Amino acid sequence: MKEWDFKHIIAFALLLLAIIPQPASAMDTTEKKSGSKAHKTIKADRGKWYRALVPKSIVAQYAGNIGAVSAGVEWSYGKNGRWGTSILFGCIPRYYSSCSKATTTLKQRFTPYTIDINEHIVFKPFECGLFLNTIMNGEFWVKAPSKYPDGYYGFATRVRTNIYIGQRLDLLLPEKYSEQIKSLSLYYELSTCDFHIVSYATNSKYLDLGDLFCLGLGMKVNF
Amino acid sequence: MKTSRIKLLYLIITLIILSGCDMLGYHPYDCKIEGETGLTLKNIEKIEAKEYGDTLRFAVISDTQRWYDDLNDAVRAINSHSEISFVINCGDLSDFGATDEFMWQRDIMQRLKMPYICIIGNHDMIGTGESAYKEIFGSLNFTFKGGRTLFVCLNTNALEEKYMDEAPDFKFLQDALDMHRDDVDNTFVVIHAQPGSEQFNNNVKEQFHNFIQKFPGLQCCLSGHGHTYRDEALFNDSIHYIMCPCIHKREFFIFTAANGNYSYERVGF
Repeated sequence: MKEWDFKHIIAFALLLLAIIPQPASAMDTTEKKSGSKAHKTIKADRGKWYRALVPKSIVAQYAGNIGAVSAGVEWSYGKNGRWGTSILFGCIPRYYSSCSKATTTLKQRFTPYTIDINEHIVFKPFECGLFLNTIMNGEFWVKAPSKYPDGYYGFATRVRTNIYIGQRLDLLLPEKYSEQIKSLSLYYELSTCDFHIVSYATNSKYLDLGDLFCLGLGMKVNF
Repeated sequence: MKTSRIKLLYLIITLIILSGCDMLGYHPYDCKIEGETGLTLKNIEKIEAKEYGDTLRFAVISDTQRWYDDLNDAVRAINSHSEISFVINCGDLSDFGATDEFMWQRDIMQRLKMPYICIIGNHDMIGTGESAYKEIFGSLNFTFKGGRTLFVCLNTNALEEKYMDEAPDFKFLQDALDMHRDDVDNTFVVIHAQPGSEQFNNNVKEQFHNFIQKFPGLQCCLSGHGHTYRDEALFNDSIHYIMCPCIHKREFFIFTAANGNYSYERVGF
């Protein structure tokens, strides 16, 4: 089982390296060098199309129900990038369990409000969203293994559905850097998973919201 | 004006993060355990240090998973019975095997005025549950003594490990028998899943039943798992298998063992 996990981590690391966005300026220079006008338009179009696929941010997160440390990329879209879809790979240290575990997270974000504090700082007072997290380990299942009678365990141990709320601070970089990196974001989020929601729903006397939510801290580099 | 607003903003964010630092959570199955651990051994020490006269009284609860409010009330009710020397939880402390579940259950059980013992249930073996159980409580099979009464606590969740683990562990039973053959008068066997249930290794249920009768003065076999109350002579002899209902039924047992006999009372709360 341990080797299997290790393989996963390496695969994720390679995948991550492969999809790390190229700085936009690198593409611009190739466009400038190209010859005819027609060629230029094709190049520019391809650049546009390609740019839509290239993630807009690199994300790193500490804790927050998806592993101890996670890293990944985000595609943001909509006005002021108010929507975002990200994929993150994380790892859970071994602690008292039999092995460390790799996780994958697919996350959908919505950031409705933007407050300009000054020309360098933008505050996003409310973010929310949901994410699915899977543990990449053979001992966890989506459907209970066939050894159990039908409907024995009515939940998946492998996939957790989470919801979260949070806040974000964008630090805009001075113009001389902004060709490469537009801004840095710092965020925190409070998330909770299906297990905890179900537990809280039936035990609101003993459990409180502090038991339900867990904190995650993160950073984004936005291109 | 603007700088003071930024300072205020930073201050608020710092405060939020600082106040939430103990909320940092890695994953429901992270097995990152905080607080007391190794509680089975610690509590056995307390149980065995107690003085017992002719009569031994203990409480039994079971299947406390995801019923924190009910368990909390049960703990309060049990605490009002000062005659109870210790409490046995027949297993299924967690529903999903998630690490927080074990810690929440432990924190409630820790409010008991008397020591307590938790048996492993099948739900406790899901995900990283077994590792969390082992760290917080201890081994899956263990024995302890209350005076001259022996309690043999066994993992019988054979289905969880595809019948590959020794559940029930006859080697452990033999060692326990060899060790305690002469220093106890009565024995209670405590398990989570009864013989005949889908979790039990039913290929050896007769052997199990025959083996536990070798223990000195076997009284009965306590279990949980079924979520309802049952008291049956499963093998049509004098040995009763008594199933404790889940805590959501708001009921616990008070057992009295005296003069080589036992009796029990079902107490509602």
